[in-house]
This record gives sequence, C-alpha cells and structure tokens, in this order.
Amino acid sequence: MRRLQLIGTCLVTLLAASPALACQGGPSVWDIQLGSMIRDLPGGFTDHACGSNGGPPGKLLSSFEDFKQCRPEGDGLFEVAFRYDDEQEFVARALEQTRALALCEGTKVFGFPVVPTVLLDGDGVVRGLRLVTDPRGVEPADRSNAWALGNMLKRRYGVEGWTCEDLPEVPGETPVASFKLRERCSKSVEGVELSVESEYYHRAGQSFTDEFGNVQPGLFISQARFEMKQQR
Amino acid sequence: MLVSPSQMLGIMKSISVPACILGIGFALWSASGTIAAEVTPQRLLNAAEEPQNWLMNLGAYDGSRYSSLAGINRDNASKLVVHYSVPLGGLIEGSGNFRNALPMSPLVEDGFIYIVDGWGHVSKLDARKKGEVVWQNSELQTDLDSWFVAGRGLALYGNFVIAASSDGHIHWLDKDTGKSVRSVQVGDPKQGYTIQASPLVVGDRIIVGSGGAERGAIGRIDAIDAKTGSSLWHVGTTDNALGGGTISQTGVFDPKTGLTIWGTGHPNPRYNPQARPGDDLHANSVLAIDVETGELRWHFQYTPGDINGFSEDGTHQLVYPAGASEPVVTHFANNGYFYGLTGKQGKFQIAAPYVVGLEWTAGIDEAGHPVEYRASADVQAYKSGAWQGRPDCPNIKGASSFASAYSPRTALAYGSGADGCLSENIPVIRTESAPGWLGAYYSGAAADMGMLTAVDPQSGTVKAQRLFDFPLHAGALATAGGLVFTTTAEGTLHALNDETLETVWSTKFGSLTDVPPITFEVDGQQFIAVVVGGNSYTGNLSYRPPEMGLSEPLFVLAVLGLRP
Repeated sequence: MRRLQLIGTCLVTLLAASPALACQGGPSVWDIQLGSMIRDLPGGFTDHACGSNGGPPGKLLSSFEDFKQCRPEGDGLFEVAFRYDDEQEFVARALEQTRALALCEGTKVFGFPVVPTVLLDGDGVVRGLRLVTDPRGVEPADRSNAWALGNMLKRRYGVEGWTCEDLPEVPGETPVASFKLRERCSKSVEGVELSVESEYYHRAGQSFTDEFGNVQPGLFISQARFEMKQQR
Repeated sequence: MLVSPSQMLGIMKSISVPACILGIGFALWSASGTIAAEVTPQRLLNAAEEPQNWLMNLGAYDGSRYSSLAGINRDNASKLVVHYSVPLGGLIEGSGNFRNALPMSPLVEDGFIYIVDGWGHVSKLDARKKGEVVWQNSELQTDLDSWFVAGRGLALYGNFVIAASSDGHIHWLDKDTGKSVRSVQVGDPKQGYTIQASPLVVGDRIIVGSGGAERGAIGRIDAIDAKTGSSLWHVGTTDNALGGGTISQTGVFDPKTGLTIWGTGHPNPRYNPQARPGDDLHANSVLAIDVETGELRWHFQYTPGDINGFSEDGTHQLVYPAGASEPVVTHFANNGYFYGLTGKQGKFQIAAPYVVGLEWTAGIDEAGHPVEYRASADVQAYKSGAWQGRPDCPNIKGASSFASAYSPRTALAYGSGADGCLSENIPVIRTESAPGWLGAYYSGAAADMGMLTAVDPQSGTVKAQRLFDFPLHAGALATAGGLVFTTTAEGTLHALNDETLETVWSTKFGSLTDVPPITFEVDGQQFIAVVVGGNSYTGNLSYRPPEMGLSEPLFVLAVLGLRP
C-alpha cells in the first residue's frame, strides 16, 4: 500500500512540476489514493454518477459526497463513476486541432477510453478503484485494441507475480483472430488485491463477414477490466 | 553456415575473372527473363545494379528508393498510361484491414511481381503477361483479425518469398510454386506483437521489426536464421513497461559498417508524458545494430521524453558522399526537423527544420537535443505542438512512418508529409474531383495539406517544397529520368520535376493510395507500379467523390508505362 501511495504522491508532485501542456495536467485516476477520505480526492473530476459495476453510469450525483444515494454492491462498497473534465477537448475539437485533441484524450487511461469508478465504504473511505474500457462512441478499429489495456495495466504493477486463468468458456465463442483471449489475472501487492480481465473474441454468432460476404466490422468483443481493492 | 555481411564483402573482393564472366552470363540469362534466379546475398548487396528489378522494400540497402532507370523521363512522362491493372481481391473478399489504406509495396524480380494483400495473401504475377497470376497463396492468414494493421510488403531470399504476417509469423514461400515451406512465430500477438514493416534480408539473416504500439506492444528487432528459422538475436527497443518504440518501416543496412539501422516509434502512452516520466529510451530513436551479433552499437533519440506524440518510425536513408569513408544517416523526423548523423557512430551532424514555423522547441543544440531538454527532467519543458490557433504544427500526420527517397542525380532527399504550420497564405485548394465544391471536403483541411520537401542532406537546406490539396502519406520514388513519383491520399499519382517539384504529369485513380510507387523494367520497357485501394481516411472525409466510394473496397495493382 505504501508503494501505491508513493506512486500517487510522486505523480501529484510530477503534475505540479509539469509544464503547461494543452489539455494536460488535470487529475487522473492515478491520483486517487486508496485509504483516503472523499474530501481528499483530487478536484477536477466531473459527471459524478452511481456506478453500474463498470458499465454505463447510472443516477447522476452532484459530487462524490452523495455516494450513499447509490445502491451498495455485495461487499458493501458504493461505486461512484466520474469523468475527466473534457471542456478543453471540445474546444480542440471545434478548432479542428488534431494534436490538441489527442493530447486532451478525454477520460482515458494509457490512451484507452474507460469508465472509471471509485469504491467507497460506508464511512466515505476510498477502498477501491475500477476501470472498464468504454466502448461508447469508439470506432470499431479503436475498440478492437481495448483488450490490450489489460497488458499495460499488468505491466504497470510489474510483470511478475500475476496468476492467470481462462474465463469459463461460453458456448459458441470463437477466436476473433489467430488467438482467443478470455482471461482473468490477479495479484496481491502490499494489502491491495489487483485483478485484470482481458477479452478479445467473437461471441456466438459473431464474425467479421456474414454468410453472404457482407462486412460486419463491429461484431466482436474487446474489453479490459481492472480492479484494485484494499484487503479488509 | 550463415553467410555474414563481412563474408559477403570478402566474396566480392576476391571475385575472379572467370567468375566475372559467369556473372555477365548470369546477367544476360536473367535479363532474358525465362527463369528467375535465386536472390543471393550478393544480388541484394548490389540491388541498385539491377534497376530492372525491385528486390527489396526500399529498393536497396541504402533506403534510397531510387532507380537508375530513365526510360520514363520528364520529356515523355505525359505519355504514361495504365498498361494493366490486376484486381487482387476486395474488402468483402477479405483483402484488407477494414479501416486502413493498403500500404504494401510490391517486389519485382526478373519479370515477376510479388505482392501481399492486407490479409497476408501473397501473389506472384507475370509482368510479361499483363500481370497474369502465376500463383496465389491464401493459406497464411485465414480468419485473421481484421483489425490488424496490414503489412507493408515482402522480402526475397534464395528461392523463397519471405512474408511477414500480422499475427507475428514469418513465412517462407517457394518462389516457383507459392507453397509455404516454413513458418516461424516471432512474437506473441497476445502481448500486442504484430509485424507491419517488411522483413529485411541481410546475408542469411532475416531482420524483423515489430509493430503493435496501438496494442501496447513493447518494440523489438529480431534476427532470424533464413536457412533454419531459428532465432539469432533480438534487441528490445524500449524499457518502458507500457510499451512503444515499435517499428512500421523496414530498416536499412550499411555493408561498410555491418550495421542495420531502424527507426522506432513513439513511447506509450503516446500523448501522456506524465505516465512515462524520463527520456523513454529508445523510443523515437534510430538504432544501429551489428547485424552479425545483435549488439546495439549506437543510438540517437530525436526527441527525448517527447510530449507532443512524435513518432520516428519513418524510414532512414544512407547517403554516401563522394570520398567519404562512412555514410550519413538521414531522416525526415516527425518533429519537423531533417537530421543527419554519422554512419559509424551515430554522431549528430545537422538538424534543420523542413517545416516552416516550428515552435515546439527553440532549436536543436550541438548535441542534437532540443535546447529545452534537461536530462534529469521527468517531463520535458518543450512547447505543446498545438497552440496559438494553428491547426497542428508540426502536423500530427506529418512525416511519421513514410518512406523517403534520395536521388544521387540531384543529391537531394525527398520527404513526404503533411503541413500543419501554415496559418496564412494557404494556397487555394483546388481539386478536380470536386467541381463546384462549396464546403470543406476534409475535416481540418488546412492541417492536412500534403507536403513534399527536397532537402540537401549535407546541409539540411530546403531546396524545394510543394504543397498538395490532399495529404501525402505515401513517400516518394526518385528516378534517373529526372522525376520524383508520389501519391496523394485521395488517389492521384504525381510525376514531379526532381529539382523544382513542379508537376510534370499526374493521373487520378479514383481510389485511395497510401504507398509510393516502385519502378521496374521488362524487356527494355520501364514501368511504374502502385497499389490502389483501401479505406483509410474514410472517417475524416466530409466530402467524398462518388467514384471514391465505389472503389474504396478494391485492392488493385496498377502498372503504368509509356503509350506506344
């Protein structure tokens, strides 16, 4: 845990020392420290809402403080979704500034659009962080890479020590490529449980071309899901 | 036993008179074109001396994309016509990646054309019979991930066509039959590994650069024994755990130093320097590797700790000044500067802006670093490339991963890209495909104007520069006919004066082209070949000529020659 806090502290320091980059320098998910209170969460996040286990945000909230309006999950934690402030991104989009748009990124982790959520206990203490790749409004070509975020997240916490297993096979699933990826990896680091799920495959009935040869470029599953939770 | 580059040179030095006679005999025999000979290490070393052929992706080991053929020249280029075109499949049949244009470049040997499509299907065509298909191998990449970035092309070795597939394999195909003889898995696609750049054959080694930055891959360069398929060495291109430093263009090889030289792309994540503090060595770099041992002899990083998303995976060239003992390694960098380095040790020589109006740095210092660079900084204090109301400067779609050319005729290097620094005096945009056009036909059109620049590689001086209505993402081909050929993304092939870059002749295919042409000769007649088709930029086009919409899914090899 201390290591994770150290990473967070370093990143905060780093951000403070950073030059003023277009759209950069705002808070990110890595500024959130497990064990901190709501009041210690970095400002600058927007669009707070009840989480849906990594899915699309639910009921809108005015801030993290309203977390008890959300229904707790099975382990008693409240999931609150949020977004990065994307005003600058819209400005760049309006000005057709391609690089500024790329630098702004939106709510992304390592370049991948995500739905980020914090997991709070009943006392408003941050006990976990959840990141799930966000397919909304993403071109199939970019969505096809979403599973790769899992690899990057695993490497962020060190390639060693992960225990991986295939997810239960669903009837009819087929490889989307020369490989099929459906795995869950977990690792424990100083009292924090990390888990990464990566999936890239065709669900039953999906394929890139139909029986008549028509192209169906968007028919595939590609996603990654990351959780870090304090052991309690 | 492997034939090493030094052994190859030794062989050359000790060549005897009878062997020379044999060589002449061989040349006459191969020119007759009845039977294709083996592609030996010596032939690859002397590829420029076989201008009738195009034996490797960049034409020759120096990466010059130059041909000494002059049958097509400034005086007769207006007589160029399409002699034949070969449809090699379409999107629906699965000939390419769903989104990208088709970046592959054909090879030509002794009257036969070898080409790979976006799925990795390899074809051999008979250039004497208007591209008649000799064989097609479609077994290499069946049911492949449609979202892989298509590979750029093939290599030739002995009696084999060497094909790299996007799923991380290298395949040996019998050149006569097209049968797959051997396949080797080089990297793991589950780790994002893919191969986009054409393999480079040196001696009995196949050098392979890895792609996959968009899938978080960690870049690497591998050497494979061309005779056995066993791994000889590999060099990692980054120590960044988040990956990057990947490769999308083939490297070059200097026989004098025995070094193979490759450009690497951006670190991951590309646009978030806070997530990768430090220099991100060896991303955005040029690496010189001893081709025999795999030792990294030298490296040079163009923009250490880049904050702007630059990516230096475009081609490098070796320019051999008269009387010099080593080449100059040149590169049109994505950061807007043209660089020259010494070939033996990679010492910085010059950096000169080839894009007017760069402001991300105040300049390049004597060590080759941006003057704002601080070795200890986690995040460098360069300026952002998006500022002051300019669309994007240098252009994010600038010189990244394009194939430059160098002409010994003019002693100029030609780099393609897209301008983004012009904030005024933008030329009137005219396009034949949009008569009566009233609105933007390309989102961010001002930032996407194609740009071709001719630079003196000794001084870095820009000698000529030319803007185009549409992006120029292909690269260039220079010829002894006084011409530079290039293609703009909407599908126009341009033949330009190699000194002024003024148009000598052009033609429009009506579909996308994302790759520079090659040239070759059959039975004394010179031809130009270029791939047409694909779907790149479709999402960005707000105006699309109707004919483009009809032909986008095509994959066609167009071969042009002079009208009789």
